[in-house]
Amino acid sequence: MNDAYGKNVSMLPGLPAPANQLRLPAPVLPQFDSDFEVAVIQAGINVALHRWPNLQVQQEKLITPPGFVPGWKPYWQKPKAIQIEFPDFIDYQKKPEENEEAVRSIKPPVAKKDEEDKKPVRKCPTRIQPPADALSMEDRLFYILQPPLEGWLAGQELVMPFEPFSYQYEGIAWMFAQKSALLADEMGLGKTMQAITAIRLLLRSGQVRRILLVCPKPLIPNWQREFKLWAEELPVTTMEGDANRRKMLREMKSIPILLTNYEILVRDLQNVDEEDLPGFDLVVLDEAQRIKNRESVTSQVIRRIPRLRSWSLTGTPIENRPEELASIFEFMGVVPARSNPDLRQLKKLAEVYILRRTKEVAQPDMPPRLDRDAILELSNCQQAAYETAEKEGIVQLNDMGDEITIQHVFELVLRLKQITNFDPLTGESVKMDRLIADMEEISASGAKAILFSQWTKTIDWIAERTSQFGAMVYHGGVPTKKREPILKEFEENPDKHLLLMSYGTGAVGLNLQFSQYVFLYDRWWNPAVEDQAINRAHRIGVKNPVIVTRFICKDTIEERIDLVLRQKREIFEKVLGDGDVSTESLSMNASEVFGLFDLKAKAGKGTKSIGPQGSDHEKAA
Amino acid sequence: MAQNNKRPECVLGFYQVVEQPNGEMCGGVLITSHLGRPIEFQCSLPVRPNATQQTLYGPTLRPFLIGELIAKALKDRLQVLPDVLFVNQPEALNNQTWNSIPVLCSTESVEAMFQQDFREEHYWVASNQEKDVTKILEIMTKYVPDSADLQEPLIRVEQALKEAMGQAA
Repeated sequence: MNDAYGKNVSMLPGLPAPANQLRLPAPVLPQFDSDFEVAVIQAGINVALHRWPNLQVQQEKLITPPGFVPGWKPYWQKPKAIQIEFPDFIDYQKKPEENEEAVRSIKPPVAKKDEEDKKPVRKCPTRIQPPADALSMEDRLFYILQPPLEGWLAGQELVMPFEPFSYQYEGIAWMFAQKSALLADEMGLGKTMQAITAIRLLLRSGQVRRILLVCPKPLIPNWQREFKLWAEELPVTTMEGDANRRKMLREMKSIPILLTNYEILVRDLQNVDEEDLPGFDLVVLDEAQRIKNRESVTSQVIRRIPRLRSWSLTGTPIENRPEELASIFEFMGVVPARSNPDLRQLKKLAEVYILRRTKEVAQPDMPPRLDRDAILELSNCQQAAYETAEKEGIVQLNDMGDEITIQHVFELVLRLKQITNFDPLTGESVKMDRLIADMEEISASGAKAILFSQWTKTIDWIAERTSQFGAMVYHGGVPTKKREPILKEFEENPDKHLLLMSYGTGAVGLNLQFSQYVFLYDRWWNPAVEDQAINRAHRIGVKNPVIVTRFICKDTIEERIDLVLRQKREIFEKVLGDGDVSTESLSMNASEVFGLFDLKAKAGKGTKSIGPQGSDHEKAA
Repeated sequence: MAQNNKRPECVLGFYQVVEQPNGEMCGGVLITSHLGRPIEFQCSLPVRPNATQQTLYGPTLRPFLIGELIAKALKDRLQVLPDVLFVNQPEALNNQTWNSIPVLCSTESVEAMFQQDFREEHYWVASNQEKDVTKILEIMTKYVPDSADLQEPLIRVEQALKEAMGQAA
């Protein structure tokens, strides 16, 4: 049989009928001519090429039955994730006010504005940045993910009585994130408010639960008042009463904010064993220059308190020597105990742990402070008394030879300064004459003035001679309970034009921005305290320029002290400003103190503070 | 003093993915109260698509990574599910991943979406979520303050992711 191509096909032998339907052409071997002889070896296989292979088809069962063959589906491993949970917000029940108004407050009508003004201008939000010493990712993300302070505080979650300034928002955000912080804003920029708000945020967000706030005794009412204003929902407990009650308050862990003063704290904790000391999540020191001497009992007691966060507030972290800042840093835990960092190291630490803004930067629109030095010539009687005292004093000092100490010189300085204030024999005072002249003008214009002196006796003496201006007295001799009413009356009574204050009692923490004039009747020992005093009047809320008059008697010890004060100001600039830090130290040393009277300093005196310690001096006077 | 353990009246979610020049992606979900206070944050470790994924997904690789792979991993770990999710990347608009949680995207996208306005801001939403979105916007109108900036938390998420990627690198 032939196939479609005409080739011969044959049936396959041995196959079943259906399989035999398969017809294959007979294999054709290619034949081609070649130029060479091909020898065909008779091996037997050549014949096989011309023969059909023997094929057989069999049916076999499959080993596994055929099923659904799945398509390939990718499987991707889930990415790993990090989780951060935030503590729950803590509610504090607000105490209902007895005299609280029953009606809701109504917003005053707002005048219609132009279409262009309708869209609110969005301020750049203040974000909380993680502190430099936060290393773990969770810690850093915790701070980054907090809402901007403006949203948090401006009426959404926490209500503020007044809108803080932008630099205050920055300060709050900075403190919130810092475990060790020194807020050193210039006086009058609202350190108290920033600290209270940062405390409020920490408490409400569950970051801290127990806070100890230490301040000078006269400032306790001030802190109470400010807490009521800025965080009225927070319960503040003042450490007062007898020792048992104070111990109970100290040990009650449910008290979120414990307010106390340095003296009580030292008295209560001085003899407490290490293991019995109460622990706090945060310890805040107001006027932290109180621990400037690291060897003082106050510093030692405060450093022993177990705590997780340490904040300091002061406008004057350095009053006399850079070592004072090191003492505050030691409390904050940023320098090892008893270390003595040099100026360069202090400056480096200050960049991380100190936030300081000046009024010029923070409040460029604030009315200026106008300083004027009133250089006065002593009256004849004063001049005679002064010369006699000076000559006798120097002779006495010289006669003492090697027994002379800085304290002896210091006593002479005090005597001479008192004579420049008034002649004790005749009562003549060139400063008083000038003060009365100025006050007549001030009272006639309805303005108010505050006057500072370092002596309570001088203040009382001035008060007797300025009663026509409604002079009021505010110094360490006035009982604490009577002090607040005095300040209130001075503010509200239009017939009270003059408030006489001591540096020790009136220089810190008070808000007297309604006073337009400040008199420094005599000079304190360092410019920082003087600045604090002046800033009672020149602070936030001041509406008019503040005129500061420094009384300096010509050719007296006051002129020489003025020179020393200017030099001290330079030290402050060197650490906290952009000054040159190459000079090792500009601290007052004994040679300079002795130099006030051209006396030779004894060798090996070293660096010493010439000033008295705060209110002790008032008592001494 | 009382711990406030109850769930806020309205819980908001904010989802964002950050891509690095080397192709790695890192995603984060921030859960906040209606006042913007953070409640929970989930953040993925950097994800780099492998060659198979790149071949298989081709041009849909980004939507796959942002809308499915990273989003699902984060969603599965969330302890507090949000009532609404805000995103600013259209690739994140994957309602299969987020199921019934309405997703509002502040960036316009062309695929099967409708526009929804809320307090002068435009949002784009997947079409099948129209009803859910209307409902949640009513709740938000009630609880979210007028002054709230609903884009701001996404900035926080972005900053947190950059911080996390910087530390992971």
